[in-house]
Amino acid sequence: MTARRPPEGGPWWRRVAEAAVAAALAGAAGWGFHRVFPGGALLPVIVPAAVAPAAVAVLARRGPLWLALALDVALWCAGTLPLYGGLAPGAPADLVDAWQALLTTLLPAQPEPRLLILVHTLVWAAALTGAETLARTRTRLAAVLPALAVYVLALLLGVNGEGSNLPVAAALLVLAAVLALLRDGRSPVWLLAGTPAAAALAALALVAGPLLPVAARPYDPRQDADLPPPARVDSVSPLDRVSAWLQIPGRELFTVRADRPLNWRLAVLDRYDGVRWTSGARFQPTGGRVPADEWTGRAREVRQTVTVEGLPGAWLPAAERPALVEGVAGLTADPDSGALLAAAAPGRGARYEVTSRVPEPSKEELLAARPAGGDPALTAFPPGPQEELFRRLAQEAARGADAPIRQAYRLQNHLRTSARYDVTAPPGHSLKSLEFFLRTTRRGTSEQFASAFALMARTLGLPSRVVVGFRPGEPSGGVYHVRSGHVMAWAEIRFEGLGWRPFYPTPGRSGAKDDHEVVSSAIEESERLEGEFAKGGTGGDQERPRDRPVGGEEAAEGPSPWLLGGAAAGLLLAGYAAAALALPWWRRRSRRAAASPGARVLGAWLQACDDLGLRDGHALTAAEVVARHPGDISTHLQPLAEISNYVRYAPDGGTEEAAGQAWRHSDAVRRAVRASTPLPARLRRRLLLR
Amino acid sequence: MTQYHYQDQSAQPAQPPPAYQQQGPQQLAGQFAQRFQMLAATIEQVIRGKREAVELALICLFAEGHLLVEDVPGTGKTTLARSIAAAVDAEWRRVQFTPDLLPSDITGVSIFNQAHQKFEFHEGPVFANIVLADEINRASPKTQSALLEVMEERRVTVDAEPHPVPRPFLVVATQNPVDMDGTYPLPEAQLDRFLMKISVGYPGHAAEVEVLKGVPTGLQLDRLQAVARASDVAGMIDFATRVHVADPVYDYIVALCGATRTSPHLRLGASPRGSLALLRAARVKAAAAGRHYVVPEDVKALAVPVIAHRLILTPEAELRDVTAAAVLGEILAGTPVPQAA
Repeated sequence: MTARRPPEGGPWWRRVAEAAVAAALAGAAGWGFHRVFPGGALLPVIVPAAVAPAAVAVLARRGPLWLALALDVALWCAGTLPLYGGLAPGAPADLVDAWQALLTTLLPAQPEPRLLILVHTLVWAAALTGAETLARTRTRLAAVLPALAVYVLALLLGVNGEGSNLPVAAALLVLAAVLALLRDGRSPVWLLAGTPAAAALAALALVAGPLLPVAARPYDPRQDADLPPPARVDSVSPLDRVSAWLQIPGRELFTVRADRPLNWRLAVLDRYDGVRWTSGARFQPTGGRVPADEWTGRAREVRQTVTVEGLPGAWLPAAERPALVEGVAGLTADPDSGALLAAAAPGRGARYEVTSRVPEPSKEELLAARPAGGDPALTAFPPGPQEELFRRLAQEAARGADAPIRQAYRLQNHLRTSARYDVTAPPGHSLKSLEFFLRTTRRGTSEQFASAFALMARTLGLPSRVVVGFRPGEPSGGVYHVRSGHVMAWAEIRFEGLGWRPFYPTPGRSGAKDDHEVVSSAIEESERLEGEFAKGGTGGDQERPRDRPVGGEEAAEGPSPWLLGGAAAGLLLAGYAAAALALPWWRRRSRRAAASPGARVLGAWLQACDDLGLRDGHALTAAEVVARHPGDISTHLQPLAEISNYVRYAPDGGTEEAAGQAWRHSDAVRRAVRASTPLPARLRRRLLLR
Repeated sequence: MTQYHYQDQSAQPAQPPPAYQQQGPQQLAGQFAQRFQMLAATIEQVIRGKREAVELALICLFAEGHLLVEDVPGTGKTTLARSIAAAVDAEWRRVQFTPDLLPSDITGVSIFNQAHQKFEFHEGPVFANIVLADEINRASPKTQSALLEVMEERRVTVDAEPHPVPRPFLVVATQNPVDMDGTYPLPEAQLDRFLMKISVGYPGHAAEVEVLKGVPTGLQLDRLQAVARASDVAGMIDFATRVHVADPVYDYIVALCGATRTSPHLRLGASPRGSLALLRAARVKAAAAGRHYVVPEDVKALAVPVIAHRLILTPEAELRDVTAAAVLGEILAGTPVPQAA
């Protein structure tokens, strides 16, 4: 599609306006990265990168292209100075690595120069190509394509980010429409009228966009990115520290300011090799946001302020599933478990804030829970003769319970009642140690209880892992002081739709009231659910899950996205077809009913041009139009052209008689065109709205 | 309201205009067109098969412009000028430009008359209705500029005394595009003084056969019948200046000329003198078509002969063998014709 005017035609304000639109397009596309980076860090990068090439395109439009490109490259280099705070010889290398770094980063990413250089370059390139295309070619909408490409990249890179890119899409649509109007060479009146129309179209797209099926499950390039390998994050497993910490219980590790007591998770260990529990986490850098787990149902947000005192290692304690972490430099997180890790061990006095989501599934959702499939490592039992013992004990404990969660509760209850908590018990969680614990001593710390529970659950086919963390600690003035004696390990089992649910197989200390509120309430809940099972009202069979949706999947009920998308597309098509039919009719009617005879004559000529398929604003004179259409058409076109020329260019205006003659000829032209044009061609012309 | 004075009693009554048109001006335009066509047909009896060149030359005459004909020898440049002079019963002179030609050889000189004891002005060959300046590029720039001054001022000033040239006054200058040795090409500023630059070109096969057949018995130039007097031509010139031009047509002319000033292929676009020339020529073309108003077709048809010789291509365009006419054609194809009054 080309504009009608020559490349450098038009007033100066139109050229400046076009360059401004190119800059705005690039800037808007760059703002699509607001799901990747915090907006405050993005703006200073986008604005100069978008404006500078557009200004160069306006100022150097009469010069050769190489000169403009040279200036643009110099401006790109200048743009890296404020970004890096000085000369940055490594910027090109950072640019190459930024893709992979962003694909392996949890969003929002830290606004580091080595990542922001990508946005700077993309916006700069989009503004450059867009503005130079506008300044040096006649194309109408090609200048939108670079910005569109940047927007698509921003969409792909920010698919997991928070916020919506629909306003950005709407802005791009409006800007593209404004550009089309500008390049069309029309008067500013058209611009004033066309911009609200484009805005209305953008609003429609904004409403219809989320209904598209692709919006429900967008493609995530991170699925295909090479994630970093599981990292050995600590020389000493946190589980190995449990017994040691219990021996010196008074050492203050950290304090937490929170509005309610919760267990503070430190490390999640989901791989067991027969000797030790390790973490299979693939930690990724994050700007603070931690992606949610599969639980989408009811949850309560808990905000905590953690101050590190004597906690060793780089693991960071937080309640339940962290959603947002602030105040930690070089934070990495495991998107699967939600475990947090600092780049370096936080020193004494380090403080950070965490917002966690505490799932609160309903009783029905818990009763209907089914074990999740997927990773076989979560149900793997290391080879050895102990497997049979663990399976037998597990089956005995869970006898009579068919529902998975009921089996887990039975197992939990079995361990809590059949063994004793003893801080003096020998440490260790190898298979041999656990066999000794289960067969002989039946005394241990949470290290043994949690490990044994997790392994026994695995023999029943329940995916399990061990979590090392702390009890809430001693409250004092709204702050929980967590000491080494509050350390505790517990087990978690993963259920479909529910995510990981905690189980506390460690009994309370003998002779002392269990001050562990969280454990107590969890145990009470399990006993209540056992009671529900016993009543038989909710049954214990495994068929139940098929009868009702689990957890947050309720949200999937209602009309299918495909249906909604199809309906929206049908609606749009119907609207377009109605406009294609109504618009020519309305235009013809208004031309015929114009107030003055002169306007009616002009309308007759324009109508004939429309019927002949000539675009509005063509560069053909009336005589050339006639010469192009010999035969029957020219019989009426010739006199119509003469009348039209007379009315348009002679000093005296048109008369009623001239208007009548003009429309008779115009109608005859219309009939001749219809007779000589095949139906498909007529339909195509009709559907291509002008 | 525009006043129309031109009346041509000798012309045949024109066809009545359609009922929707204004009767008076349209009838006058019809008479103009009839006389114009008659002149063109008469000249074409000598210049066979070159109707377009003949009409352009006549447009120059009625627009009070001057014509530059660039062509190889023997294509009828001189004959064109002579036949125009013969057809309008006007006085014509020919000046063969050579390197040693002096300005006074063209404009005339003041000579002291012993008997009357005073200087008397002796008119040069420029004092004629139609002047043929043959091979203008062979004269020195000084002599060229003397002629060009007369073309612009329409008078010769000698010893502070102005001597007006007769009306109508048309200079038909010729130049040969080959054999350029020892020539002084006209600079752009002087090319701008010519209303049009045309090329007669070789006749077509059939026309050349007609030329050959007509040599022994055909109509000789000297026997060509005059179909208009010089005074009639002056009246037609006056009528043409009053042809109506609607505002959108002004805009169209300015848009075309403006586009030449911003084209990337052109180093120099059309000047406002070019716009004025295009307007004058378009008025005559409209009248020659029997209209008392200009339409965009008139402008478009004359854009290349009137504007192209005023444009200077960029070196890049010249290297790519782009011509000024091609650039102008592109501009014409890209400039919207006014669609509404």
